[in-house]
Amino acid sequence: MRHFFLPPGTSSLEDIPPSTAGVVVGSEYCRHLLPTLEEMEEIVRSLSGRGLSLSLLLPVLRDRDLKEVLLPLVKKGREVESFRIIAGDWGQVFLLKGLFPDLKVIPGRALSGQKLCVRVDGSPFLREKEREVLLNDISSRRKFSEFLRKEFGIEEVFVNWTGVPPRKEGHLKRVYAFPYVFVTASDYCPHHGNRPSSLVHRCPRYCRNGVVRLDHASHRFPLFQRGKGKFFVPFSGDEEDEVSKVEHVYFPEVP
Amino acid sequence: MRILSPVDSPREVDVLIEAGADEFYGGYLPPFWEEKYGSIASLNRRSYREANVPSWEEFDSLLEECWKRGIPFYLTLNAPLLPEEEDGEILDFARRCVDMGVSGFIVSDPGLLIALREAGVKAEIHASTLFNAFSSATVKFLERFGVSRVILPRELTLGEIEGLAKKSGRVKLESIVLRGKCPNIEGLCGHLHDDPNRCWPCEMKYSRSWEGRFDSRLVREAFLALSEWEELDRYYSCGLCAIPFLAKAGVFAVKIVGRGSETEKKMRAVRMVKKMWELTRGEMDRERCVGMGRSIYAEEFGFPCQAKNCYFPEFFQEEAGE
Repeated sequence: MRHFFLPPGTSSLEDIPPSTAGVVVGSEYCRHLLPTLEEMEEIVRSLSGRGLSLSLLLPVLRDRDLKEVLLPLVKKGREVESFRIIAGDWGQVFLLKGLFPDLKVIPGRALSGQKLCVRVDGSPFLREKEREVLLNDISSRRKFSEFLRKEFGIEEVFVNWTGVPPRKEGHLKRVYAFPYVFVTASDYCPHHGNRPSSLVHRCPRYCRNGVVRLDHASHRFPLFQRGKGKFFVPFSGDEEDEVSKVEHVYFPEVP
Repeated sequence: MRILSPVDSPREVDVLIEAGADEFYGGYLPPFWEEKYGSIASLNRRSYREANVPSWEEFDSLLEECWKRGIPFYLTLNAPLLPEEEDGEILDFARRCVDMGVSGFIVSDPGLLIALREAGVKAEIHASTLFNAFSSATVKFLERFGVSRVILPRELTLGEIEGLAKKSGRVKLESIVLRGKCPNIEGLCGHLHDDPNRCWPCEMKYSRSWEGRFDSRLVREAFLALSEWEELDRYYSCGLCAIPFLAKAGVFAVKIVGRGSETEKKMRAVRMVKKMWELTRGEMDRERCVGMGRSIYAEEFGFPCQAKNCYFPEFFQEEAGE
């Protein structure tokens, strides 16, 4: 089942393939890339009568943003029948499940515990056992999975695609991100002279114009930096068939 | 307000206390972990040996030195996610550490938070920066696991920390004030610190190219901003000016980064923080505090501080009248 990422500033559903189950909006690394309330209204309107779900992808948020940005977006999003949040921090899980117990919340990639550097594949210094630890994700923590299930009704987690390891009994279901692996994010945007987020009050979303490609001789793959986030694609593209068998969010371009 | 210093050897205890340290934190990699996994996917997020106490005997001796002087020692068990099959060994290790005098553990893995609580390990639990406690909601979430202290992310402004402190209830807050400013948010970062020469992916010199709609000004500025991180020396990161205000806000401890660094560097850092704290205790005039912080910085390092090294760059912005 595929969910399609709609890049910030987009509300048109024209490019979405017919087999898509839902759309994903927002950002995992910058609050300025979250839809404005007007954009959210437009997205919700576009989805009307289409039978598609809507997921709101979130970065880490400060108190001010939780109140002023997130809550209005959630209230609007809930007008779509199958609306869900992909949370960027545990505070969002705690707050939103407290306010809206019926809201579907999925811990996002920032909470996955995966440590997926561009160097994980190919580092001469890393043992195989260590690599396994780094690729591991939060769904492997059975007791924590039970806690999330019991306290917050959480059944799924959003993780980077690293192949399809079998799901163990009692563990949360994984929803995968494909093909871009989330590597890291900064609070300092290169399009704002490395000013910290708190000091950038308005943003024209310069980062939507393109990405910086970062190559290094010791890395097998290039990094792609979009605004404050860094990503890479560790695949040749042949994995599409495997991915189509699992629930995943498809990012057609660097998120 | 306490000054929390890194410590890597029993020989450092006295000199760091003399410099002004009130509490210590550090790492020790138990043999079961090192044999099985090595040190890169470390139990405590330090991939190089100097950042861990080298032997069990020295670790024991370090704890004894701390105990004799009544100084708490917090052990880092702060890997982002630990293999569940190792919980038993890790809990045994944690119990032995508590018996030897460890006051608490710095933890990043929510699974380990639960395991420690369920096992009834009698020690303080500190939530590491990896929990990204940018909001009071995250602090509340962590409180449910019995966390007694939360280490705040480096990226919060003073105003944001003051706001969090008002809402943190019984949970104590800790703020990083010296060394170790990172280009990335630690709790979001997957970069691997695997190179024995300690050149990390966040500070490497990359070949850069632009893919997308070309705008020469935009591209030039982005490249310039990215190159700044390649030139940044984390050793000089500083938040001294904020210390009196953090104390007034109710922040419980200020932390100095630097496990694995030379004793002299640790001493200098503790001395700087202690001096700032003593000279500005109760002082609330922003300008005077900033002046004092800058003077201590310049005196110790021999050059003036800069916005790019600053943990609280809003001070520079205020000064520029922005």
